[in-house]
Amino acid sequence: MNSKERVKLAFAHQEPDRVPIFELTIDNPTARQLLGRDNLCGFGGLARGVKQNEALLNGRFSAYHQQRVADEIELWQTLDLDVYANAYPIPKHPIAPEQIGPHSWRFTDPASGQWAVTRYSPESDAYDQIDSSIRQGGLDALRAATEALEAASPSLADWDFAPVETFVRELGAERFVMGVADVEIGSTWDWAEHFLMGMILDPDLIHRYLDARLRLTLLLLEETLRLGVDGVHGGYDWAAARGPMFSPKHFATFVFPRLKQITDLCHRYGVPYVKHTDGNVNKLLEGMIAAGVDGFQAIEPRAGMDIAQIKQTYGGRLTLIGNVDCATVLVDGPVEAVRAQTEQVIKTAAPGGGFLLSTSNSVHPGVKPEYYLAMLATARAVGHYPIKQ
Amino acid sequence: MDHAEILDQIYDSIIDGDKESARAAVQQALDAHLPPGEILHEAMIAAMREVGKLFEEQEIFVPEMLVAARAMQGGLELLRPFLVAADIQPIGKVVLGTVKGDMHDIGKNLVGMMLEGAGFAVVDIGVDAPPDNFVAAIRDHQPDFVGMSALLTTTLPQMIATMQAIEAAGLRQQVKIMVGGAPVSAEFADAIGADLFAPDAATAANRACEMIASL
Repeated sequence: MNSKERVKLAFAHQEPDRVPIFELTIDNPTARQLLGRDNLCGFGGLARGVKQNEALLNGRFSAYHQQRVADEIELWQTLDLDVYANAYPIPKHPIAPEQIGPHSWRFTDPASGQWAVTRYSPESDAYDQIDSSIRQGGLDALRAATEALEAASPSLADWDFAPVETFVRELGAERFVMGVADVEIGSTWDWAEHFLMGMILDPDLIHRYLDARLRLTLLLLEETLRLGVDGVHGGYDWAAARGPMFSPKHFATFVFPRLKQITDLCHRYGVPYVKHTDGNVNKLLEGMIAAGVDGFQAIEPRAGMDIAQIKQTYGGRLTLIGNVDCATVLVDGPVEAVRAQTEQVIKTAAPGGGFLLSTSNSVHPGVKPEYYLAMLATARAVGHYPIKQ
Repeated sequence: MDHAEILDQIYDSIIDGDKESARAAVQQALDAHLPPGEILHEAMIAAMREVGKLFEEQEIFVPEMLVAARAMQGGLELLRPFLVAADIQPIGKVVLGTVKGDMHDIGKNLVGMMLEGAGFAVVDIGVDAPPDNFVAAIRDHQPDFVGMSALLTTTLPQMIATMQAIEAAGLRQQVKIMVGGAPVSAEFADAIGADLFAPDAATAANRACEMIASL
């Protein structure tokens, strides 16, 4: 049984030969240790932000992405992971930033005048947008941005699908390759407060903004599906440790109907949709399933997400992907604790299928490589079906 | 409309997140010569306390809290000159920041709004704030509390570094230190010697009020 067959059985809620292994992203230093060289893998700020901005300024954007794709393929093959989750297209005409500080860049859209400032932190390897025309201009600026999106005519001709084609070609024969699509809620941006207040103060604007973003998302998703990905994941965070960022009622109004359009398209191509989110989403799981979500990744223990309870309540309808704690044992160890928790997660969630093992989020820069490798070794040692209790 | 009804209207407008209504009601209260301290404490701070309670109980979520804080701010803009004239002081002062390496600010901002809603003066030193900036803000503003926020596991060591910098500057005894954010736990707060841990913005305001009352 190869990886792809193993994962498909798991999504069908059947028991494959062993528990499949998923990872959302793998950042440095883990990637560096495993590949033995500098690389562009993961969501860390140096690889994803600084190096990409340097490439944009040097006219080497395509070469940057070719290297990033090659690095990730090598890493996934080295680790022999069953799922690769980040096959997405890149723009053919990206905006080059202006470097405004040692670790800061300003992006300005010449057509609309909209701008954003990003910053990198060497201390944490984080790279984030910290200011923008929408943050400064509030709902009026969001309205202008929405009108610009509505006036645009999204076209596949503006997008380069070579990364998707390469992942499908190089990994897809054996492994389960996933595309990326989500309802692009603004609650994780620097202008989150405006987006969140807009749900109450100007709900029509928020609907228009989300529809305008969804139009491009569906266009890119359909082409990604046509190119042969095996599944799709969406990565926007919905919640903090105490609960959802906004009410279940607002999720039902703004998010789930649009998510259903994404999952319907995936299902028309016969592939499952996986929702990643941080935080405590217990109040959203029924709505998530009703919106057509097939799998749920992260299941953050620190946020009170109990994989045993979720398996018992939703395990027949939702494939669970998690949840060795990347905020505790995968950061602090020791190896014995990683082994014990990995074994416990597998014993709890794997029986009956409908389960893939992963960290409780991703292999972020704080994860120690030796602890992640201990998780993988344990999964391969104890993850054979039938699972021994 | 009698005085109690005007205060009720301010209270309800803030909970409903209706900024224009809150401002109108505050203006009506000022026109009726209600004492500024009574408007602040009986209507506005009481409303934000209720907002915090509803948030803790998950009856409302971040958007509702944000529009309530916006309505409170709208009313405060009108009231502030009268508070100054009446020499009504904040119940305490807080320096807030997101630690070095972390650029997330919505959690910090929510804490700031709820602290202001509870009657504190808030000095926000922003995101990605190095330990020296916290030290300088303590020297400059002489706060009762310092609040440190972090969203990333990888920036937790910066909380420790900031604690050490405050200690090294000889300022630790003059401030209470409050920590919070997604990767922060009560155990971590204890381990680094923080005085307060709050899992959310409403709890942060409640605990700060309790501690300031006990000083």
